[in-house]
Amino acid sequence: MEKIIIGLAGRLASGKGRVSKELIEKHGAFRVRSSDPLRATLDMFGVPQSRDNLSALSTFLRTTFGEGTINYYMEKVIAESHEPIALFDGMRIKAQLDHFRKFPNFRLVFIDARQETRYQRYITRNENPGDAEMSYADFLKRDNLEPEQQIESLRQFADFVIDNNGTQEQLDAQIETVLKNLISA
Amino acid sequence: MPAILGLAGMMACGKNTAAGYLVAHFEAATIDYSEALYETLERFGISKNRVNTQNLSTFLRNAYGENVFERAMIKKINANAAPLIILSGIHRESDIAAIKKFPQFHLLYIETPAPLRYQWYILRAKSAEDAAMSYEEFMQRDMAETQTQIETLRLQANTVIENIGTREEFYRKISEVVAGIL
Repeated sequence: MEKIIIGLAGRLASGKGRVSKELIEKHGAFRVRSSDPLRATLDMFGVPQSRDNLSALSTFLRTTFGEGTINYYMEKVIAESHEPIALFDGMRIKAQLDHFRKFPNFRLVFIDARQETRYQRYITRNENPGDAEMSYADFLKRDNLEPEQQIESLRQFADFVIDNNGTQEQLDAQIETVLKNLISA
Repeated sequence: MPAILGLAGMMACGKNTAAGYLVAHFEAATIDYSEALYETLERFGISKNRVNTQNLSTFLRNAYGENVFERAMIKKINANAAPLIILSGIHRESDIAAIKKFPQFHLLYIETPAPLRYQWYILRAKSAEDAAMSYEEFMQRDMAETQTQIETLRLQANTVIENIGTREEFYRKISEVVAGIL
C-alpha cells in the first residue's frame, strides 16, 4: 500500500496533538512536526524551546531562505520513514499545502474547535514555558495574529474537517471515518 | 577531564592542518564552531556557502545571545569522550568567554604572514571563485570584523606559534604544546 500523507491543520490548541496521538498509537502513523527541525536546532545551541524562540527561528529561515526550508526537512523524513501513514502535524500556510499537493496520496485534515474550548486546553496542557499563565485576553490576541489567520484560511481547502468540540469518543469516530475514506480511495 | 586545545588564527593560517595532524597522532577529536552552523543549514537543505553561513550566524547571535555558539560547543565537549579535544574556528572572545575559564583549556594562536596565508588559501580553494581571488580581496576579507576580533584572541592566547617554516617544524611545535597539556 502506498504511503498516505496526512497534513493536519488547526488553530491553537484545537486538538491536533490529540488527533496525532490517536493516529500514531492506533493506526501506525509516523508523526513529523514542523517544529521538529526548529527544536533540534535550538536544542543544539542550548536555547530554550519557547514559542517565541521557535517563532523567531522559523520566521528567519522562511524569510531568508524561502518557504521551502521546513518542507525540505519534512519531505526527507517522510521519505525515510517506514510507517504506512506519514503525519505532518502543523500545516500553517497555503505555500506548504501547495507543496504537499504534489503528492497524490496527501490529504489535508482541518481540526475545528471553538475559541473558549481551545483556550481551556491551551492553559491546561502548558506545552511551552509560559503557556499556563496566559490570560484569555492574551490568548485572543495571539489567536487573532496573522499566523493563526493563515491557518484559518486553510479550512476551505481541507479534504476533511473534524469537529473537536465534543468528546474523545466522538473525535475517534471521526478519525476512523477519515481513515476508512483514505484507505479505500 | 579532557584537555581542550582551542585553535585561533587568521584565515588559512594552518588551523585545519594543525587539527588534522593532532587527530592523526594523538587520541583527539575536533569540534569546529562552524559545525553547528553547517548542521543547521544541512537540516533545512540550505546551501552551505559563506553568505548563508554568515547570515545564520548573525541571526543566531542577535536572537539568542553572543554566546550561542559557545553553548553549542560546551554541549559537544561534554558529549565527547576523547582525552584531547581540539576546538577549531574560534572567531571572537564571546566564543570562549566561559570555556577559557576551564582549567584544562589552552588557547593556541597560530600566526602566519598574510602572503603565505594567501598562497595556501588559493592552493586549497574549492571553488573557481575562491581560486581566482586577488590578494587585495583576500586582505579585505582579513580586515572584516570577525578577523579583527581574532587579534584580541592572539593577546589572550596561552601560546603563540609562528607558522613560517616547514610543515614538519609546524607539527613539531604543535606536538610540544599538546605534550605539555596532556
